[in-house]
Amino acid sequence: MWLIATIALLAVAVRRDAPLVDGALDSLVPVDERDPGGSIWLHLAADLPAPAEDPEAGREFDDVEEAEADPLGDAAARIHARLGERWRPIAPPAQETAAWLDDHLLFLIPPQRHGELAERLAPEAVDAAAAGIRARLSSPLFAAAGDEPRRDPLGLRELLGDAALGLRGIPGAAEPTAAGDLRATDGGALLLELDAGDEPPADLVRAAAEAIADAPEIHLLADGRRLREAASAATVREGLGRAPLTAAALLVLLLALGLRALRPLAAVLGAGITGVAALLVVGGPIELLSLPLVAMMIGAAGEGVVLRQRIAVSGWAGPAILATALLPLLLAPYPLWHGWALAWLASIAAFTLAHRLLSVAFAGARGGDRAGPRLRLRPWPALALVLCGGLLSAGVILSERLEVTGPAAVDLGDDGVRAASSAIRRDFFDPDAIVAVERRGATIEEALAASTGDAAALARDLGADLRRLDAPGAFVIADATLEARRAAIDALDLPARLIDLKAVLRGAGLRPSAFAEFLDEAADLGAGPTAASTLRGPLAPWITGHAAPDADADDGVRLRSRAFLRGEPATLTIAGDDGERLPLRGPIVADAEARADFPRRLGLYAAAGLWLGALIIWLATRSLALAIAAAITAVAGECALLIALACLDVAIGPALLPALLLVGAAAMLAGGRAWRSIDRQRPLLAGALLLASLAQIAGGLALVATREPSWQRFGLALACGCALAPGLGIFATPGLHRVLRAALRERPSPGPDVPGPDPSEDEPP
Amino acid sequence: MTIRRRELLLSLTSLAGLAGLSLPRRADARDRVVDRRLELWRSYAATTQNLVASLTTIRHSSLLDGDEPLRLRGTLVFVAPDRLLLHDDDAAGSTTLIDGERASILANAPDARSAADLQPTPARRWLAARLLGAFAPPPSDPERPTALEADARLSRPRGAGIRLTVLPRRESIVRATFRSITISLAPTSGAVDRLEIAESAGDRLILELADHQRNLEAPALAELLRGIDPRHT
Repeated sequence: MWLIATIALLAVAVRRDAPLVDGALDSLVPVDERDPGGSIWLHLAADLPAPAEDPEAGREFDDVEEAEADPLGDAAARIHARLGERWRPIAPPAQETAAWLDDHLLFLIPPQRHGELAERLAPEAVDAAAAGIRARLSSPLFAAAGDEPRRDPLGLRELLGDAALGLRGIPGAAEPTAAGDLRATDGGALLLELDAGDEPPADLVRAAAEAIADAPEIHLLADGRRLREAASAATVREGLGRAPLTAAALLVLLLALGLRALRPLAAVLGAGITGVAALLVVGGPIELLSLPLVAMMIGAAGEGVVLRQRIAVSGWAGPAILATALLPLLLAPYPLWHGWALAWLASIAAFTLAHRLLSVAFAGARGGDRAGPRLRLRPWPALALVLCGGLLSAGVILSERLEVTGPAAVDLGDDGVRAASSAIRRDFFDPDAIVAVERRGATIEEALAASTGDAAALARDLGADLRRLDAPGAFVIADATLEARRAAIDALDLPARLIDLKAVLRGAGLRPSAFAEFLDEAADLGAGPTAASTLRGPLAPWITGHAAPDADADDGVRLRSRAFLRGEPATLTIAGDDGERLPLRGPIVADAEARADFPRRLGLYAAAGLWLGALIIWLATRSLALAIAAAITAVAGECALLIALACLDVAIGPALLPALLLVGAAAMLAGGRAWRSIDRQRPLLAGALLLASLAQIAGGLALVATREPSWQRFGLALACGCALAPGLGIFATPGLHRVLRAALRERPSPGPDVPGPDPSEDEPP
Repeated sequence: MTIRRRELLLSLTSLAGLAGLSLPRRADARDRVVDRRLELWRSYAATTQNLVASLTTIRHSSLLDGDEPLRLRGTLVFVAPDRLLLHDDDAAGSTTLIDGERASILANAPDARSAADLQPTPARRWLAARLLGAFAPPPSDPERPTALEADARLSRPRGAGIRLTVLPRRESIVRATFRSITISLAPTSGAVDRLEIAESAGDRLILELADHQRNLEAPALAELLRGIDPRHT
């Protein structure tokens, strides 16, 4: 029966429609906060010879040829040609942006700076500007001064304020190329964006690599959510054969050494296989974050040794505490854990049932009941109070300073992804720190008009962390304010000022026609930068690249603006022009919100776990004192784990919640067993408990032995917690129980007079 | 088969010699003409603690009215290790100050707009470092690159004259602003006689130096700076 059930479960797990492995990395993030974008970032760097070794450095200098050589630009152009449909400009093309600014500079200056605008157009300021240009011409640094006298002789662009960040980029940050890619500040790298769409991301990267195959000096690195997911799926596929097998091998080794009998070992292993099969069937596809639960389940199979010894508080309480350990995760806003909390429940239930069946089948076979050393315990109230008091106090203090990671921060061990991510972070921005705002409209024009204030708000509030704004709304003035700005500009008497400027420039020995870009556009203001005129202008292709159909409305359009950051900013609560909070999206937003909330939520999950465990113990023993004592021990165990992780410099986060809750349950179980031993005045079968704990530690160590950082952290937490929890339970719970029993005036249990099985003659419970 | 000790030693020595010949050497990677010119420059710059020279600035620019370039006379002062001042005598000119990582262009006329504390853009930093490097003493260790060589490529332009061309690295973003600096050296002394800066927008700026005075006494230098340095105290 066991065999049929297990084979059926395994068949369902393997043959179902859903894939066995999934590469998703954002399963802990609520669905509506996930990043829907499929951007792939291509980082191109040139491995050119150092100046001293450059074989061309000594040749005679050919000025024209020299000026035209741009290996990175050539490589980018080849990728554009090869992947034209998939390529997206990250920034507005430089020439079109400059032309747009020339056309609409006066409109784009915020009204609050119109006073300064009038001052700069005053005759004496115009004289000073022309004399300044003339004076600075003799300086070798004239061209590198940062101003653009030809396009802006009066320095009016300085008045754009924060709006300039959306139009011209961040001073000192990467600059857009003529095509709209980004070039690093030192010129040594280019960044291109591809929209993967439905195509396999690896195919696009391969195509890009082929496009530049004839330029071996160019190195291509690629990053992006879809690429990371592909790498994650490959890692899980590889890890699925290694980590659980390592855990199983360690378990077999431990049990073989501890039990020294084949049949009990076979019962535990058989039940373990059933448990894992149930976990896979109920849990769904295995992801990077959920694979550790498989190893955790294999470790938990060690409980079978204890089940044989019948040393739990009752026959059903132990498995029930273990099975419900992860149920508090149903309260958490992490979708992945909802399914796996139930899967864990089903898995432990299946394991317990299978173990019972197999134990019955193997009944009569002796051996395997060598419980090893026996410990005669007695309650130590003082030790218990000191231990729990100390750990709880330290835990409370530590909870204020916990280093917390968010649900979207998944550290992937893949070398290619890590190298690309690191290079992009060094040269451009943090690819994990991209914030997006979407505006909706019936047409793209409406959506563009709705996004006019977003760029300024992002630039104002993201401050020094901002590396690049990709916001079409920065180029547009809302219709409501356009006429007011036009009236303010008309009041400046521009035609007269421009005649003055021409005369002054000529008087300074300068050629007015050299400043035609400014003078002509200032003389003819045109329609102004409205959404409609912008969509008819040279920036239209770039703007339409930000639009996508609105899934929530028929014929609607979503227009996306993005802010590229170098890390997490001080605040992600940004108010728009209308005073409403900007609807920011992106992994960094989900992470920041979850991190701010996590310590408080952690208490909630721990409390829910304790309540469940305490209820089970109370139902099993009708002792409120024991239930409370076990609950306090469990909290102390969780605090001990937090302290251990802080000492090991491991940040806590949603990914580690299952390990934390399991450690609480393990402490509770150990406490209950120690109480039972004292209550029955019989020695505690420390060997069996030690074996069960070692099995769980082995599950953790199997994860630590992998190369994947997130698995290593989980394994470390599991191993540390399962090493600390039993000791705490054994030494603290009985003492606490004695104190609480006195405080609650609970009647002592009948003690040794109550008939109970002799541990040395245990039968399967 | 036996090998005599003498034969063994001879063959080992020959092998070592061949290996030494085949190893790439840094000096071979660059034109010897460039190296000789660099050595000439190095011999002059090595002993420069300060330098004062008459300066003629010539700018060819599309901003200027007419065909004549802008031509101004002035003074160049360099104080090791990283201070350079280019002062125009004309009241309509300016004074350029480079002081380590900081740079500014101050108009001589008080009512003209100046550009104090220029943004440290890559182009500004690159050119300022090259200008300082043209006069600053090179590192005493000949293996270390000079300021002319670091973050740049050295070449020699076509035509006559003892000249070196300093180019931004090929991948450098500086090339969007500056194409090259050509340094002309005095044939005998190795002093910098002329600097020509080619800008990417098409302008050319020429700095012609004459009447070089090196290593002036501190009082004389202070007296000179008092007259031309707007920030001199």
